[in-house]
Amino acid sequence: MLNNLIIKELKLEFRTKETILSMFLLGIILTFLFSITIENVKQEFIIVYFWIIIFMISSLGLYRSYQNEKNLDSFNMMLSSPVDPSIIFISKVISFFIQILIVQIFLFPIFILFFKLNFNFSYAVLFLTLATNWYISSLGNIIGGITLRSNRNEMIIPILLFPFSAPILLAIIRATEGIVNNYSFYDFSNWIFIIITSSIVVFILGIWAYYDIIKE
Amino acid sequence: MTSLKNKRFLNNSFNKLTFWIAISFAFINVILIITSSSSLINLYGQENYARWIFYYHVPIAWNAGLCFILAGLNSFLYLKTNKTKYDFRALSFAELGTLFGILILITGSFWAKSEWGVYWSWEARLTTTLILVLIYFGYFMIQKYGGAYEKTSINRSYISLMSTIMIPIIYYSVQFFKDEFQSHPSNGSYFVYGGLQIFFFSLLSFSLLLIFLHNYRMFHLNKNKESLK
Repeated sequence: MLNNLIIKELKLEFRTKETILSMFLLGIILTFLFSITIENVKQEFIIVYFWIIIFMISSLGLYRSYQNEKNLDSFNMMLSSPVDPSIIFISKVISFFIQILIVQIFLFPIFILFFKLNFNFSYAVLFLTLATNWYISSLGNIIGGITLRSNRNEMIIPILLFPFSAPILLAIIRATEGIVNNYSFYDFSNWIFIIITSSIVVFILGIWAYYDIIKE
Repeated sequence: MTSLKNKRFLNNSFNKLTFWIAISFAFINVILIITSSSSLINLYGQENYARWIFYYHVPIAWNAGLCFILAGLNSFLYLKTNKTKYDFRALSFAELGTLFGILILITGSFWAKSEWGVYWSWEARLTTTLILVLIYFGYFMIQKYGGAYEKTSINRSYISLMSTIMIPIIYYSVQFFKDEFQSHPSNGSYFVYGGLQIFFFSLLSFSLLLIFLHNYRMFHLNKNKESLK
């Protein structure tokens, strides 16, 4: 069932590609604006721009995703089917996680190009990036569910998403800086702890709470 | 429900008692802080008016932390039992917590100005408190624009429950952020030059103020129950 739901979400997305394309285009435009307006950008600022852009475009993507559900009134139909609502949540989290990842994969080379980034591959940074994406996706789907019955979801999604993401944004940036610059592990182990625990806690909270949030 | 027949808050004798106790303790507190000479002496043994921050900033922070924890707890109880009284308590504590949170930011800025020379220096605990206050702004946005009461109360409760994760982050933020040039005064002996009794009296009077304000807010929430729904 989970497979079918994930495939359905991704098929729905890749038929039109409107969410991924608009997220990607907004990402390029923001990257362009950052790189053209700031001269002599320091290497350590690039990761900050990258994550701020990712958080901005994911709020756009979430808005599109839940707006589609709202316009077609498909969510009530899905709820009336004999599926556990937590499975709907997991499928939505995984599909949005894949969408963010695709956008990041395409956006990162543009970052290297625009900012002249000296890039060294590291498995630790990759793992933390995936954990942060998982956090954005879980949290974003909880918030999207909260705004589903509201008329002003374009306003409420960023207002709730950004404050909740602020500690994670700080944590991923500090942890990445620590890993890239080879700081001692004890300098940034707290940040790694924050990233991993909060992505697990928010995911479990979503599984537990999703039905309450989206039911009419 | 019988108390609601009295439309005015102070007609109830219990409410009147909490009001006068809170007011008189607050008044005595102010007198004590202003008149006592030991409350002025700072950590380096000098006289400094900025030292007074300990007698209002710390109790305000104590109140705000208590409010946010109780808001999260009552939200959890509301989700478990689905009784409206818990939601009203959570709402009242969320409002008071936001109020005290804003006061933390203002009084903390005064301290920062006197100690570090700038009003806002991205000090760790103030920054994380600001994040929590911003989350609660979203909470009130949902209450106002989220739709029908039955939906928004549940959604608000989840937001409040999720935001409790920020409280340990705020508490330990002083250790997370390794600021080279400044830090929040988090540990050490503040009261070697006296003033400990005044500090505890201040804590007590602010807690009584919190009880009064919560009582007042609950009275009005219960009175306007129909319009809220």
